[in-house]
Amino acid sequence: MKRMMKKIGGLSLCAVMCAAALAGCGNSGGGGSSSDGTVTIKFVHKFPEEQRMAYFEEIIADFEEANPNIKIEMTAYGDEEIKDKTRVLLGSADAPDIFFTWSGERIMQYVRSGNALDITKYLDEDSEWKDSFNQVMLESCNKDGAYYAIPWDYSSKEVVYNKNVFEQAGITELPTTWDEFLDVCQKIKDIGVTPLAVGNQYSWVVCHFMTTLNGKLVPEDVLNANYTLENTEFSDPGYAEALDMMKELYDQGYTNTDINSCTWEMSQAMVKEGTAGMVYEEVQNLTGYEDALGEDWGYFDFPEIEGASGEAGYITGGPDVFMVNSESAHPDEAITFLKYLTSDEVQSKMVYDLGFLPTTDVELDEAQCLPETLEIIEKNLNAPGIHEWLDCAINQTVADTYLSGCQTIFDNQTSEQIMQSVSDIAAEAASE
Amino acid sequence: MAIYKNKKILALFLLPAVILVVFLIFLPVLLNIYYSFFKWTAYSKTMDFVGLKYYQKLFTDGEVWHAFLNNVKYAVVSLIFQVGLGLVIAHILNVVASRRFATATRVIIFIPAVISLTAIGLLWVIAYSPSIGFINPLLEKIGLGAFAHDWLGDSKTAMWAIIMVSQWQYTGEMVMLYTVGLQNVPTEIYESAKIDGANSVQSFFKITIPMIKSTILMNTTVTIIGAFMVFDEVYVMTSGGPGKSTEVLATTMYETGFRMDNMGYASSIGVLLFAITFIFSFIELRLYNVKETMKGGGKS
Repeated sequence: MKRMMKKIGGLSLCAVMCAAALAGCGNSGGGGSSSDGTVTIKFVHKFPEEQRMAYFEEIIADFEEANPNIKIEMTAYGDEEIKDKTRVLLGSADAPDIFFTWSGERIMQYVRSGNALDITKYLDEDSEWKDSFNQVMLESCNKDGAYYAIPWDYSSKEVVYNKNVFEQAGITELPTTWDEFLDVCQKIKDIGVTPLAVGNQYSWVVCHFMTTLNGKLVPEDVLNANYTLENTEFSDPGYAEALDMMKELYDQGYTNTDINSCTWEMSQAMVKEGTAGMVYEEVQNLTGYEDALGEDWGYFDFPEIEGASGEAGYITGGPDVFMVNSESAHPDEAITFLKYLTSDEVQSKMVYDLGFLPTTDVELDEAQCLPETLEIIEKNLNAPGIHEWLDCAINQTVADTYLSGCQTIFDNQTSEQIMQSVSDIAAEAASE
Repeated sequence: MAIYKNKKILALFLLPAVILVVFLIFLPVLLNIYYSFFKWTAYSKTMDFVGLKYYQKLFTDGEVWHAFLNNVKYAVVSLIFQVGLGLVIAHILNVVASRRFATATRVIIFIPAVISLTAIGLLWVIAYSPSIGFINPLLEKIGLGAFAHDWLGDSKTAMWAIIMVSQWQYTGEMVMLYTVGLQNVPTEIYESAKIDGANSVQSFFKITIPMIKSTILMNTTVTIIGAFMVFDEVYVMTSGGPGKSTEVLATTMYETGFRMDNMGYASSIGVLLFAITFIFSFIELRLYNVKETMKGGGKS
């Protein structure tokens, strides 16, 4: 009676929605303390992969040894799953003390709802801690002078390529401009290999391209006014042009043809196998290419666009942050753990073990780092600024429409239609 | 059996079930209606009363009606395949195929129904993939290469591609339900019809359909309700994309509540979903005459 089960399943979906709210009434906020004075901190993050969990288990074991009165209860959820999980958990009696989120709106939604602890005083009390952060990353956790989150690692994007493919296609120089990039694409296409792998089944993939292209094509002040919904007219021609540039790559046969059904993992595998030449990749995933291809991979910065009116050389990315639940019974212990997470010891181990990018000014041992990662860390320190993930930076309802457009541009909508619907939804969202 | 006459004891034994139903089904449904009058998020500390605002929005929201239409497509195709084709297959297995052969066939066509939905979703994502899937090469092999397509990546075909997965999965299950019903139809009827010169098409329309009318009716309503409740298949295979082309009511509700933080509006979509399924359940109850079925020998 699977059909019946489906019926029940549907009903229980409604039930879950209600239960989440019901449980919200009895919000106790986070872990408790036992009779022997041990404090339990509930810690939720989004790194459930085996290697990443091993890292967390190790550092938590060390922390608990050094702080015998604090016990860390860790739970991890996957990338898509955590987006709902955090929301539901925060409304439940099982709310975490420390929880993961992305930057921008993804922080602000919890600030507005009153779930975020203002941690300004902890930062002010410990200026050494505050100063250890990369200030660009720390400032993205700042709202009207108050800090609500601690950046733990950050991500940035680079174009990763397979050297064997480039060699076969006779490409000797890495592209630095969009025209050169198109030229490279054509050369790879000529040898019968997909130039650029795009796994846009989940549309954040093309949305990352939009983050970069919008940043390069749209003047910074216009961009900021639009992203904060101060100005709800996304009428700058740069927005439509950004979508059109992606569409052109697709139309020219420079991407895989199954762009909207290809998964992100499949696109990574294509470059590793050599069935595609390039992929627009996050830096923390570079170790995967090292494992699969050894010496035969490289990276380059997203090509610049000549004569564009946006900013060049910006980082595309954003910090992964941890926030403290405003109703946590043990904020001091939670902060102790966050300080530990951003200590030199843990940050450097993060770079060595996971290949993530640190948010503090930690000294790194070259011998233990992937040389490419180290190079990118150095380069990013001198970047003029950061363009944070478009789908994190902007109101979630607007992001939903924009994300949808990141698929329909290859399907049945023009860039003008998409930007018009983004403007419409932005006006609606701003009025609420 | 004196115990069946004692209303008090009967009530006592029924109580646990009644309590469960009230707390797990009735209460959530009522609360859901209540919550649809408020603006709130899963984690918000306060709820703002907005009255009927979300219902006004509901009836003018193109996305909701687009999703509703996808559910209707789901229901129509499911009726054709599961209720219709399922019945034909069950009849063939019952009448034409030999009993031993029929058992093996039944097992084979039932297998998809016992695999987890997520596994099936992922399986078909791969099957439909133009680069690594087997659907397109299969089409080429049988000379239909011109139809090779990015099934899930094109908004024109994605919804149908998902719907067909459900048919693949559940038609066999429907065949099983029909078979149970058909086993209560005495074989003598078919035999005497055969002697009178009826072919298998005639015996299908004159014997099978009238004899298991109540099973057909039940399967029809269960299929329709299932088609409006569908969530997992869409969520796993396309999560509503490309764009919004494969959104159904349940995924729209989920996106609205858990991604766009508009729980109140999501609740009102939930109410719409409830209303639709309630109407069909009500029709089923009215048409499905319990007493008559009991007389007919306890068919399901």
